[in-house]
Amino acid sequence: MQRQASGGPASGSAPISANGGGPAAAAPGPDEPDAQLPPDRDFERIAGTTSFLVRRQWLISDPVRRAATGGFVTPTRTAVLLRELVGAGILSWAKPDRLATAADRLVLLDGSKGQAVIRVSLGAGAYNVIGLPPGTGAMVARVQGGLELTVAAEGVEEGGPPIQLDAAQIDDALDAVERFTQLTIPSARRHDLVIKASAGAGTFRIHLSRENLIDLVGAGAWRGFSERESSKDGAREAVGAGVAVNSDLTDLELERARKWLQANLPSSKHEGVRIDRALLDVILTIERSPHRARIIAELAAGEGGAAVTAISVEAAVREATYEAERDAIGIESPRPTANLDPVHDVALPARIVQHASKIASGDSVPFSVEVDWPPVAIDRAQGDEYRYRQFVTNVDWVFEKGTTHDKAYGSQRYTGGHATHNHVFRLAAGEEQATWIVHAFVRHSHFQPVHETRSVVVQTEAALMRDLREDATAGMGSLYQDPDKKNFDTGVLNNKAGSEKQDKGLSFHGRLPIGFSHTTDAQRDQRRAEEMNQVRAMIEHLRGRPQMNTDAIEAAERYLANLERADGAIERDAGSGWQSFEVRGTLRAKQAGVEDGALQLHGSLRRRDDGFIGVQLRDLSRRFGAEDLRTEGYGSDFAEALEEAFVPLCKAYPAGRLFILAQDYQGLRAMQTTIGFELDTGTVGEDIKAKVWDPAVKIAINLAGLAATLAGFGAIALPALAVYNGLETVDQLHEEYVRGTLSTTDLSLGLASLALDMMPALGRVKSVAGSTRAMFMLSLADTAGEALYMTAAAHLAIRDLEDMHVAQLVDQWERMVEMQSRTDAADPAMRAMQAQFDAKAEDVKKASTHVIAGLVAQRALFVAAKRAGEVVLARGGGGATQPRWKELSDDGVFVARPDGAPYYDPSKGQIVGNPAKLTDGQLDELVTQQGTHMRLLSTQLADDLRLPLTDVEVMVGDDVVVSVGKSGGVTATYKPGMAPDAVRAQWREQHGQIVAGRAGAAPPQRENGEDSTGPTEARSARLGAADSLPAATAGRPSASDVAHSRLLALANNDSVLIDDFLRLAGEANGDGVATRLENLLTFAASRGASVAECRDLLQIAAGDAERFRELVGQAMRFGAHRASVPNPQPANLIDPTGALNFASANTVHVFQRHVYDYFDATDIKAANTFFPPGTTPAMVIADLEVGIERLRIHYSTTIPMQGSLGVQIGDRWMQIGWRTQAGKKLIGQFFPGSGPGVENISGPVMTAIAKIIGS
Amino acid sequence: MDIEISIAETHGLDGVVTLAAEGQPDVVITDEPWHQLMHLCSAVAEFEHGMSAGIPYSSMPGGYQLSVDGDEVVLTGDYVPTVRYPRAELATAIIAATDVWLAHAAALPSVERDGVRESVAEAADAARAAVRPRPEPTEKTSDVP
Repeated sequence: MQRQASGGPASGSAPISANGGGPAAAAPGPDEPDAQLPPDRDFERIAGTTSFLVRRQWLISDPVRRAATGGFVTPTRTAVLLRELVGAGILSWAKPDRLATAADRLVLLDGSKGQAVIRVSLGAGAYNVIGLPPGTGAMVARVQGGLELTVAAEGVEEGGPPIQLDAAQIDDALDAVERFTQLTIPSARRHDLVIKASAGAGTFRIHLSRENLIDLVGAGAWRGFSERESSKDGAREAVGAGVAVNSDLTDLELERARKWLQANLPSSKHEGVRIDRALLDVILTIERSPHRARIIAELAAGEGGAAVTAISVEAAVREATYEAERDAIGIESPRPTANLDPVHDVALPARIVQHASKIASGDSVPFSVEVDWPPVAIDRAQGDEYRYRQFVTNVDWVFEKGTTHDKAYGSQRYTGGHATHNHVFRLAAGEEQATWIVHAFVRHSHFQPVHETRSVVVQTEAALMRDLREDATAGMGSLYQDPDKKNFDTGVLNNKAGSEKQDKGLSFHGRLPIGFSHTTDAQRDQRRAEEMNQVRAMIEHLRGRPQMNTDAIEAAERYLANLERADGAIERDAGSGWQSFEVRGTLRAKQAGVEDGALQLHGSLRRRDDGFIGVQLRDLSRRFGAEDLRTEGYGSDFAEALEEAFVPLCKAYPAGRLFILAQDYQGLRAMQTTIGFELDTGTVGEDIKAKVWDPAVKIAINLAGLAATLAGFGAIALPALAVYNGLETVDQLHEEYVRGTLSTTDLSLGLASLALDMMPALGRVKSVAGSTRAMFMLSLADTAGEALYMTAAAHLAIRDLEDMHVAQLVDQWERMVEMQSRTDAADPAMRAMQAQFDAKAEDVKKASTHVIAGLVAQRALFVAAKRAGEVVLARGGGGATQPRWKELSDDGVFVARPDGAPYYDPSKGQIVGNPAKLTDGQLDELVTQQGTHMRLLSTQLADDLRLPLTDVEVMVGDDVVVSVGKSGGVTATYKPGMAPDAVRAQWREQHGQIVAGRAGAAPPQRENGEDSTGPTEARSARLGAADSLPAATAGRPSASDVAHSRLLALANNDSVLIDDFLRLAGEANGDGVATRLENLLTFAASRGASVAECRDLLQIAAGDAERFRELVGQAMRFGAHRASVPNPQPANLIDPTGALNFASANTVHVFQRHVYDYFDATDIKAANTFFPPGTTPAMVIADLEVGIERLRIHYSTTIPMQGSLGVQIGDRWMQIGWRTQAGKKLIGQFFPGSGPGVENISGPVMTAIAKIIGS
Repeated sequence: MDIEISIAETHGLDGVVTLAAEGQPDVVITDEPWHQLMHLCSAVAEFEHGMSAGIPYSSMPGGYQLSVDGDEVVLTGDYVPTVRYPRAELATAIIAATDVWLAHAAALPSVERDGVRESVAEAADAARAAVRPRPEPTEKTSDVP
């Protein structure tokens, strides 16, 4: 007998059944539906089901409704209903494209009798389009008196005509029928069945009619089942109270799950349970878990209204297991929970990353927890969590040594996406190697906790190098034991100033194995040809879909061009008489991000015309940077030539150690021996820092350096010298910052003394020539090549400290010294004064720490090479994307000329040359000439003004301006292109006016030497009180007198205005107000603003000193005169997968809106957010590149256009989005929302600041 | 209540959108008008189905919410006052303002405007579809079994 079942009443479609109680419907129609649907609703989901009550009129009014077999299709309405199910979490696994397809294909089988409100259910066949719920083998529903099934079937592809099921597929389907109906299909009736099905993606759908089922289970059994189930409709679904069962569990399994729940979670039935395969699997996992009791306790504690599902139980298992493992390993800190309430039911997809490829004993290794963000679909609530709540991560680290189980603990908590934790691994004496297990117990604000581990192998330095050498030289025989110590010639500077390790390395000798044959040119050629062919094949593949891969093809072609260029160069070598030789190499990198391991070296040698042997090394490893390296050496023999080529190759690498081994040659004849070298990659530049930090050297430098600058500062030298260690601290901090490992803890280390260290030397601060920024450079150690750089704002902030705090400390110190001369240490008055001094010193320490920590965090203060002054800063922190000549050109220092040799024109203060022909060396020399000229102008100006040379600085600017500091020091800006003599005349004139103005405002002295007691004196006294400035002492004016006279000078002696401004600035309730006001007015003057134009900002302060401090800080972040806005582009606009390419990024807009130095003050909004001060275009681009990657992760599931996506980049929360332009995508939106250093300046404040900085 | 939405472009695509209605404070949104109109049109489709909608700013953090309260829509958020508008009038005003912008974009095309015009037009179409009066039942419906 053959019985036939079909793929359903509407072939190729899957039904939504609209049951109106007709004879074919499984569920009765609603008798009183109108009463159940609120009048203002078109539909409403029936709680706990996939069914809806739907207003018939709404359904049939679908503008694109069309008829279909057995009913009709209402794509618009169905889409709304499906969206509702997704929103309720019922179809949460379904992909948007599947839902869209389903909306267009689901057929409404209308068995209604024209009621105004009808019941619509999602049939089992719908899952053939949408896909089955994860972990579900089949979905079954009663439809039109029979059953409809969607069954999982691996390998089935969607579409096409109905497929005929094979025996296994029929068995799967009938098994599902048995589980669903709890009826048995006798095995004899399973044979000879022919079932045709509609194919889905990995599923098939069939419809078994009432007749089919009577054939299979018997008429009585089917009738009984139909009567029992008559009240149910829709595919099996379980949400809400009660126990629901998915149909793919056997009776035994079902019973087991029920009993377990009853025994362990007795209240679960009231809260709702979904028993399915996934839940059963979790139950079995719990039973096998060593933490069973704890898990059940966690589950019981978590019971509280939510339905029990496999997901919720799994979450409890994860939580309990995590805590149990955390306890077991001995972490004693309390469970951190604040701000760590996950929004996802899945564990954080994290892994431990070790930021060092190989580890030697004593290495401090940074570890981090990296998250592989899954492309999850997020609902609206979760989206809000992403947008408005920062990522918070808490990590408990445990470093467990494998052999001894000794443990070291550490913990960190951070906001944002990334932080590192360093651990120093140390082997025991005599140990050569050991393994540690690194545990990270991670709690996260958005995901569930996870315990991750990774093993780490630690070796002695010697063992590590030995292994690297062995790996790299496999097949090249053995090395003789005990390599020779060798003193390399690493250059004059290194030899003179470098450390021992920089020029003292090792030389190796060994013997090649018998029968060794070196890699031939043909083999090398073949290797390169193979690589090029692979790339060509890839390009061809991409060209198969050119419209998708245009940009990827371009990238691949560029890569191929590089390979071909290298290949051509090697071919030309051969044509020039170079013959290749076998050379291997390996790198032991000590810089994070650079891989250890074998290098791809290509060696060649030849006899030169002068008889020497020449050796050339080409390094194609591209281990760092994209360029191939090439070095050359020559000598009387091969070894000498190889050494000469080796040293520059070695020194080209970042921190680490380089080893090479080559087949030895006698003349051009290959030997059976090998020769090799090994040397530290460090250079004197790196070592100088170490030299400066050497305690003995440091003391010498400090004493020498400070002694030269202490005149005029008197006793301040004593506290300063006592704590002098600033250079090391700032440099360390900056390095930490660059590596991204700067933490608040680091900031608190050693900063207290830093401001004190700098104050004595502030008189030596030099402005940085050639920079458009108001940057200053302080040479703390002349021989070190290092300098402390600070922004103008930082300079003023430190001055501020000096004026407010240190002046008092000095005053107290002087009195103490004076008392010491009259009494002894046991005198109670002396002891009291000492206590006062200590307390004041503590205050200064706190204030200094606060100020310096802020400056360092804002990148307003850092250490760099002194020589970098003109170059690094002009490039914006070293991340330049445009050539130096262009930077100089923007500053007016460089003028392009198509012909002739480049030169420096002192008559105009400009470098002239053809950028296309200018070499770096030439430009260096011309920049030096320009610097020398500026120094010459300083000397001339000092002479003109009859000032000491140390008090005069000249810097490049876009105008001719003289400013006179409080101590009389002069800073003058020179505008390139102007005749120096004319500029000097202007400087003299401006200086004369300033000095005359100040002289006019100086407090008059009475003939008898007593101070005046007029209004000015009263004001001075008030200033003294407001700023806690030292009072006048005999023979010199008080600090408050000087401060007041300076304020009056700035305001053209308008004492009424100054009084008013001091009131608005909060002189009545704050310290340092006058100094801050002076800073603001000076700043305004430097930006061409009048004193009156500062009033709006002061009115916002409205007498609140703290608010005024904040506002001045904000205003002075716009320190740079606006330069032309650059337009660098991120490097990853092209998506390697071709999925989301961008044509460009509107970086000009980003800089003009969100970077202080480029802010467009004509475009002020209600909120104006800024990247941290000091952020350069290169830094923004680096962040943007990360943002683009984040955008791509979210692209497929969530965000199509600009406006909705917030992403975490580093410590900052950024918003990013794109729009279209000229048919391509453009990044139109990228700005910081929150994070360290990010400032949001309100519209009114920004408008007031704009008055000062101009537009 | 008459609601008037005016648009000004001051910096390329950037500018100001102002919602004015009698008896309500003006809502002044300094942001890219095309971006605001695109999102406002999407919001129409949402609040016509009784759902609230959030609209982010394009060039500064934050945004505002349009929540349905009966026949009214309540606008609340960052840097804007809280106001209430009749739902239907607000939808009409948004679509009208968007049409004005689209006409402006057609009359004064630029690379930037051309790029985003399609997105704004799509959103406007969706808004129009959402507010289109639903067809009354006709005899034709009797063909449904």
